[in-house]
Amino acid sequence: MNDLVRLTAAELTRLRSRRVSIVAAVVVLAAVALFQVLIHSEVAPTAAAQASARQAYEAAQQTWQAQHTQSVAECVRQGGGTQEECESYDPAPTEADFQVTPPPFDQVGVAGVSTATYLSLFAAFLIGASFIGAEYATGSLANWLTFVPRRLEVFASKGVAVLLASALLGAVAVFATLGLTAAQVAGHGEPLVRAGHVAAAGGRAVVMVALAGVAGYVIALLTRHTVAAIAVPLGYGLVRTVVAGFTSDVDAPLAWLPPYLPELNLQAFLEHGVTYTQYRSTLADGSDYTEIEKHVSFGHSGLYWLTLAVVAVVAGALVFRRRDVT
Amino acid sequence: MTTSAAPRHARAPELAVSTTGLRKTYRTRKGRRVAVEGLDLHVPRGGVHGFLGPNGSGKTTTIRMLLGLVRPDSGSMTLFGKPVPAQLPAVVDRVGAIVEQPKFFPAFTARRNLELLAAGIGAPKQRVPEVLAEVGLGERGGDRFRSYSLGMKQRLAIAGTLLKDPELLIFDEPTNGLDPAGIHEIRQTMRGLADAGRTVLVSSHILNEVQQVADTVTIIGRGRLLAEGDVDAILARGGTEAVRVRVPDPAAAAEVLARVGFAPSPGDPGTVLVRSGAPGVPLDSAQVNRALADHGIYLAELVWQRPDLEEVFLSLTAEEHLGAGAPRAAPPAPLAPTAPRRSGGRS
Repeated sequence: MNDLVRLTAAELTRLRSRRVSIVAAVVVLAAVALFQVLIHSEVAPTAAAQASARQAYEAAQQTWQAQHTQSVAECVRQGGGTQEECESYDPAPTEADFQVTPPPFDQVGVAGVSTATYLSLFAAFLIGASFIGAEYATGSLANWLTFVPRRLEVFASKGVAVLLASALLGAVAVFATLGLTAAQVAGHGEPLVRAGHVAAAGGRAVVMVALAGVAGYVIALLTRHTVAAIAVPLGYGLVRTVVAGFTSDVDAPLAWLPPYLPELNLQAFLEHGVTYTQYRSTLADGSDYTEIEKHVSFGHSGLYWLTLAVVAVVAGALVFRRRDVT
Repeated sequence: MTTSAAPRHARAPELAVSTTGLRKTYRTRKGRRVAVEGLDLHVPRGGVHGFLGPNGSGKTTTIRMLLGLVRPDSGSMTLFGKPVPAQLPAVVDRVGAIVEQPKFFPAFTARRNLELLAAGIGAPKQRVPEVLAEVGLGERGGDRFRSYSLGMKQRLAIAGTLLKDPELLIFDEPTNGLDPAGIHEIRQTMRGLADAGRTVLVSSHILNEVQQVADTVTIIGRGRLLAEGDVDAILARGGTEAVRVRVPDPAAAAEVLARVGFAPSPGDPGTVLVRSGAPGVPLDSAQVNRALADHGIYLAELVWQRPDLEEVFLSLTAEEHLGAGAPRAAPPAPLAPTAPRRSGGRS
């Protein structure tokens, strides 16, 4: 265990000295700062901005009241749906739509967590992938193994270093965002609504960022190349676009697939469960359809990511242990 | 070639490195390529052991297998009597190695690279400036690795191996790409390490260069052992030494030399090759000169011609070059422990 701790410390030293790590961290923190600038006007609107928003809201309200009845009747007459359905297509404008009042903390906080999370996910994946990819590219991994031949210890030390560094990056990004957002909201006298819920979302985000770093590390270890590792999620994105057509219809061959797709499980984990929609055609020509809501639970997504993490780590360890390193 | 008289178990502790029946193949588009085929390697403790062979003969692959970087298909290996790679962690602290080009992190300084290595192996941090000074890089330790010349990179790699103060040093093609001054420096470094009591295993395809520093050698070709033993014994396989004399009348000179007991033979036009007429009796060039002068024949030139490892290797591989179907020679007997050739080495 002492050897593993020592090796992990050495890997962390190297990780924090790498240019990619420093640049990724700076970019993420810059994005956090930019987010604060962007939400400032929302969190603390000026009196003039509030007055202008109220004017726009009242004008929209008047227009709606003047045209709503006629619009619904026209919709029903043209076969757009029942009375209730047509009324739902033209909802009344609300103050929130025009930001007459500042958005509640949980709304802007979750938006901040989401922004920080997705940026950090990419940064962590890149850090993890380039960390081991650079060793293959320079040949320094072979040099290291002549000094430390215990392959599993080497694999574990690098993986733990990436996990810790990614978690730290995610924690700093997410909680800096939340902290600064909370400071802005509270500074303008607004309550921190559902702060615990937002903080919990932040905690889940840190877990996902840590896993993203490990994913980058394992994929780059298997492919032996940083760019090849980055190409894996990009390639998945392309395939996903093609496959989408076979998953949206409830009767399609791959309709069972969505609960096993990473993006849906990522959303479910971050948002503590997510609802997605599939469609069933009600007419033979497909011109009409009904929506069927389905749900991916937080528990399902947690088990999904745990299984994926274990499989990836075991596969990576087995491959690294046996593979020739030149 | 030395022969082994001692039982194998008595020899084992004397060997720093040994392999038995080592085999490694690689998959290629055309099928499998044999990199190492049934190699029996014996590296005695102490001194410099040359591991020689042409490019592609399996030297680097063998070294990688010894260090656990590459998995052999079959065969066994030991380092200091311990089977590897199974017990490699137990002996790795006694081994320092440079495999092919020195590989460090280009963006880090030399000092940082060595500090990372030291941290990884648990060596004290103060060893870093010590080993940098030992290889003459003390003042350049703060420069990035990518700014180093090839010779400096090699020296840094040697510094890395010295962090552990190892008993066995393995250098794979350490002089590749170096200028004559750099080659000379590496040779001196290897000799100095061996004279300090360490075992140095150096692989190279430049046979004559290693001949200058090695005490014992193993020569391989196409992944197979061709010869091994003390350098002088190997050289003796290449034939006896001779002197080439340039004289006005080669025929007359040959007759005179034969009469006084030498073994002359025709050389290039205008020259005679002279060997000792008695087996085991060294050739004395002064006697050759005196014999000819006593008969009124005066030399225009006298040049020694001694066999070198390159000639030995070419003669050993002559059968290989004739075709794959040529009968394979029986493998030579394994090495017996031998004292280093030069002074100051371990006995």
